Amino acid sequence: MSNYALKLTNITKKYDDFILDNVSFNVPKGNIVGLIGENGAGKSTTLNSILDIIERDSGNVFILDSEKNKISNATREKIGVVFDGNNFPEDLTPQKLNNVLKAIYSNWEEQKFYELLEKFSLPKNKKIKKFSKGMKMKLSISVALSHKAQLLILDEATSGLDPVVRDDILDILLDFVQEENNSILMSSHITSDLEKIADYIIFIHKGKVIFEETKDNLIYNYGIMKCKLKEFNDIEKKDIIRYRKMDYGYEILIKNKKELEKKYPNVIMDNIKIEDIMLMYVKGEK
Amino acid sequence: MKGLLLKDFYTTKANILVALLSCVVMAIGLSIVISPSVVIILVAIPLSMTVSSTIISDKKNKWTQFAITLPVTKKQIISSKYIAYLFWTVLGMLVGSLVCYIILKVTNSTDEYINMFMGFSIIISLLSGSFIIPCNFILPEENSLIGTILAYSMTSGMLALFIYLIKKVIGVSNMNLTLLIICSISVIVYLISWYISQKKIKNFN
Amino acid sequence: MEIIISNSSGVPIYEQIREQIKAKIVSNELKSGELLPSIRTLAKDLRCSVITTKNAYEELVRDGYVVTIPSKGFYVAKVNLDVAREEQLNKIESLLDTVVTLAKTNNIEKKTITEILDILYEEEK
Repeated sequence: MSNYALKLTNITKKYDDFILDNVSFNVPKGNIVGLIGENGAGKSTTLNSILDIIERDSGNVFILDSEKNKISNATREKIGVVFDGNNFPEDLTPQKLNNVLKAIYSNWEEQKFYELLEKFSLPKNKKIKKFSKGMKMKLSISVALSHKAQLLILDEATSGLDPVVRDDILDILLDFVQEENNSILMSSHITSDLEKIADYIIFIHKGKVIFEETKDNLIYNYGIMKCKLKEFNDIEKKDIIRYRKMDYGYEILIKNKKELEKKYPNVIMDNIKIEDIMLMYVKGEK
Repeated sequence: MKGLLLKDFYTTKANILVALLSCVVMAIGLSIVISPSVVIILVAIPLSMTVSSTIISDKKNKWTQFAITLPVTKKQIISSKYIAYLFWTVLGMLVGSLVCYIILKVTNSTDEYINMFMGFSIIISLLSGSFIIPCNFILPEENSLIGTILAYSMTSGMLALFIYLIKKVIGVSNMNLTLLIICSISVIVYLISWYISQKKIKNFN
Repeated sequence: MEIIISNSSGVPIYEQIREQIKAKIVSNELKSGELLPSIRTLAKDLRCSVITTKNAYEELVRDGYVVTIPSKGFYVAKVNLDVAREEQLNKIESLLDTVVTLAKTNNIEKKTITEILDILYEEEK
């Protein structure tokens, strides 16, 4: 029995204008892992490679105690997937969708599905094409939670949703991992959501994994130093992860806040949000 | 597999009633001019074409992408379309035959072309399907539309060619036998297409 | 068990949890042998990561305030209250050391500091 819900090793996929380059990371059981990165950085490509929606060129994926390197139907029974936008044929109603999925999933829980529909106030006899974006998302999540899944994979599932709906969904996700064997891998632009619920954050940029850190480490040990040119020149290169020259001075991304606060007591040290860490990596220089 | 077929059945059923009705009306009209049994082919072909549109709409509303994450294999996704195609062809032929039968009973006449149109239905539907279904999966939407039109014209052409060849080269002049041979060929081609699609189609996007 | 977390105080959440639980144990609000909420339940209620609550609990175990029984959970240890009090006193002493250093550097008399202490204790009531 592995401790990991998901293990990726050296996933590579080449396109004409983009390469997913040796992406490796793990999702420990019982944890929520957030995947961040710009549009086109490779988040969706990574998720699609895991799910076999696109065929990877090389690399290993081990999911949920499955020894094989390929996803079997038995493993798919335990994975719930939510994509951004449409997931289901729009002409169906939730009730018809229930009938379809009942015939596909061995562990489909019809009663739980209808309970979730009630909880989210989703009408079961209305065509999906008449649902709002938030309703469609809640429907997708209801489906993902109704077949005894142990791993949820969400690809930008909360983008375009209002804060109230997002809060509801985050609550549901937190509930899901109350069960120790359940895990979540979610990609999102909305870093504030990940700041709320993620245990680990993985940053993908131009097809490569830039870091794999605990969220707590990012929030409490990473920081931004702000200073003028003179002070900037006194800072050791090895302490600087990235820096940006702004109009009013220099901004420096560092990852050992407590240590550097003592080392450079005269420089302003600020807390930093995940979004800003991302920006520094993308727009800053080494 | 059953779930996939059920989903297609639901989506097609929603759109089909109108199409079916207009087919039947048009067919009845034409049958007065040509012969009642033309209804058979005029209902079977459009019905089987609905499968083509489900493949395209599946891609468009990202159902295919989602379906891959379900505990069904890509082979099953492909097979479900081939099965559905057969189902609607046969259903179309049955409905057409029924309408034809009613017209013949009502007008108290006979139709010597029944066998011919039945044969044509099977041949054109299966031969076209062998080409169209893989095209719908592999090509993007606009191209597969062209493919569909090409397929039907090509098939009709092939049909004429086959009839001519069998008559001249093999020397069979019995229409029924000729049609039987070509039907068998069509079935074989369809099965080959099914087999190859299952094996070869990996990328649905 | 009520724990209030500040997201913007700059103090890591696991430290806040740890200290608040310690305080409750020292003040006997949490009794010896009492079962604490699971790591996951606490994480969900406080809306923080399970890694955070795990850290907090692990440090409480390390410092002797809490014991863990495999597959059962975390329990308040039979804490030697004197030891706990000693730890808190050490902390207070260290903080006061900072105060005294600051006062000396700025030529502020001990009398002024005592006055401030009196006012602060008054406020507590």
